[in-house]
Amino acid sequence: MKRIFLFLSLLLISLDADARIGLVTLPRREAVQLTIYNSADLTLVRERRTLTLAKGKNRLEFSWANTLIDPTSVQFDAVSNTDKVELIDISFPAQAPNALVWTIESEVSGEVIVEISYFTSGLTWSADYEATADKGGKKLSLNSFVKATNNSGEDYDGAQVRLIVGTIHLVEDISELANRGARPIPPPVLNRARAMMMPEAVASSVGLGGIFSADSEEPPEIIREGLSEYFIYTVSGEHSVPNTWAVRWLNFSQSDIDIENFYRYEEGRYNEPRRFFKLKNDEAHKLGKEPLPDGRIEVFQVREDGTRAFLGKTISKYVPVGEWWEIDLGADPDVIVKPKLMRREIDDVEFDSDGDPSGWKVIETWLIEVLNSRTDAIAIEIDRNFDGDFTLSQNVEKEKYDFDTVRFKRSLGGGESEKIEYTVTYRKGTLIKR
Amino acid sequence: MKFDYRLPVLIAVLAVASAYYNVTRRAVPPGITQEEHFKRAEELHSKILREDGSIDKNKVREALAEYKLALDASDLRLSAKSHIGAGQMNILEGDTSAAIAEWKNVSVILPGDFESLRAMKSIADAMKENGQKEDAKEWYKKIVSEFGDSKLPQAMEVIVNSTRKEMN
Repeated sequence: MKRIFLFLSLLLISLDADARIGLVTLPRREAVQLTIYNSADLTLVRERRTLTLAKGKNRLEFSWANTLIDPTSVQFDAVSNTDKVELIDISFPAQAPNALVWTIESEVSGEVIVEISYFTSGLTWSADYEATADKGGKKLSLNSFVKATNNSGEDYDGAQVRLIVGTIHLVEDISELANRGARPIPPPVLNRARAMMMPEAVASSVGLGGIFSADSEEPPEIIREGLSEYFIYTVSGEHSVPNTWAVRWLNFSQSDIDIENFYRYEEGRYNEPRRFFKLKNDEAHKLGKEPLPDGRIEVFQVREDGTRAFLGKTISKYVPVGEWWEIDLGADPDVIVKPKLMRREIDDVEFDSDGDPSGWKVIETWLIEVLNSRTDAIAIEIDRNFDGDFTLSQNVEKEKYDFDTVRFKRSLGGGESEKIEYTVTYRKGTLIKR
Repeated sequence: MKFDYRLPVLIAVLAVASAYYNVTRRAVPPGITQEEHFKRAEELHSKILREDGSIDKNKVREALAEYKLALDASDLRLSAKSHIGAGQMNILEGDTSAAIAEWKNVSVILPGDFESLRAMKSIADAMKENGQKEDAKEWYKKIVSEFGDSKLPQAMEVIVNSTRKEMN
């Protein structure tokens, strides 16, 4: 298997004499920060290492072979002795593919802390949600997870992970964003390995062919902060994100969220009535602290015996603060909606001077049969779409949803059925009024 | 009785056709894409430095051959990288002029690109190493004229800045 080949080696070479003095393989990264964007396959990596430099010119080799690092983005900056250490040249050694050599002029002899940053692809993150409704379908418990997946070709140990929600436009914007409100790379701490599985997958990670334990003893805290159109999640602590593995952390957990439990039917869009949970991303629903990134959601409901029944899995769209969130639970065969065309006639035909029909009305009578064969009561929305200039009969309870959609809202008890009958008149040709 | 030539002629024609088919078909080696040649070259390239710091010349020659097979790839970036790799192998073989010839192709294939800057810098550095100081200066000037007015990432800007010093 191809494994990492991102390595740094310090070639202490006197350039004037052009003779190698020594080759030193550097110790592991002391700190690394990953800023992962979910709207583009791009991650900003900032890593810190301590180099032992000789006074004068030093050469430092950086290789990106077998990784997805963008070599044009590689940047070298001294963090200590900033005014005494300068990057003066970059060259490309013949003996190594995909490598560059920095020539560093140092006025000091000894340890210098440097930061090396670059963009890489192959590191992505996504959101996962786990929702559990109570027995009555009135309250919801919501667990939100964030998951980072590494296929970049490089292992990252002891990494601080920052996840960006929001659309990016240019690479330059990413760099700017990454530096705005950026936290310093945390100081190194001892790697506390553990091999402990947690039942709710908190701070656990799922990789290809196994389970990988996160570093910290406690589930990490996700620190959330908004930056205008962007939102940053910073996962507290340090984490290992090995190549080909995925790591998942609990973002937040909230219980007792009020939800509306309803069904919706729309011919042409849904072939069968679909069940939805509806809640708003606001304080009244004990949410609203942050936008909810798009991701997968698994929904359960508590049974009478206290166990959980799996209701379905779906993809959730991005939900900004203050917006409604409708969670689609899929079709429910226990709720049936059957629209039937009962009568269709043409009336009020007008003719032009040639005797051809120029305007007429089409009058249709529809009967919608709604059956709730569940034992509990349901609320259902039935959307009907109409083309052109139309008028609906007044003697039926309805509401206008938009320009060409009318919504029939009904509540049915367990085992109840209802028939909705309406007449629609379409005006055609010269009879069209709008 | 008159000898009937038709059967021997038919057999001869079939034998020739069969031989022609076998020669033409079997002469074509199993298909290896240029990307695979490039990958082989990179694999060899990454192993040419022995643990004692010496260069494995056999691997250099093998890598050079593999890079050459990928030179005219339709993927321009692959082609440019193959020219860069072939040039690096030429340098390790001690043939600077062949290396420079390879690297010159890169700025034609991917003008304005990082790979192009990388190749131009390698040409200038190789000429300087080879004692061709005036020629090297021309290439440093060329780098500055091509990349000097652009807003560049540090990885490219440092090269251009160091090049400005080399011009004088």
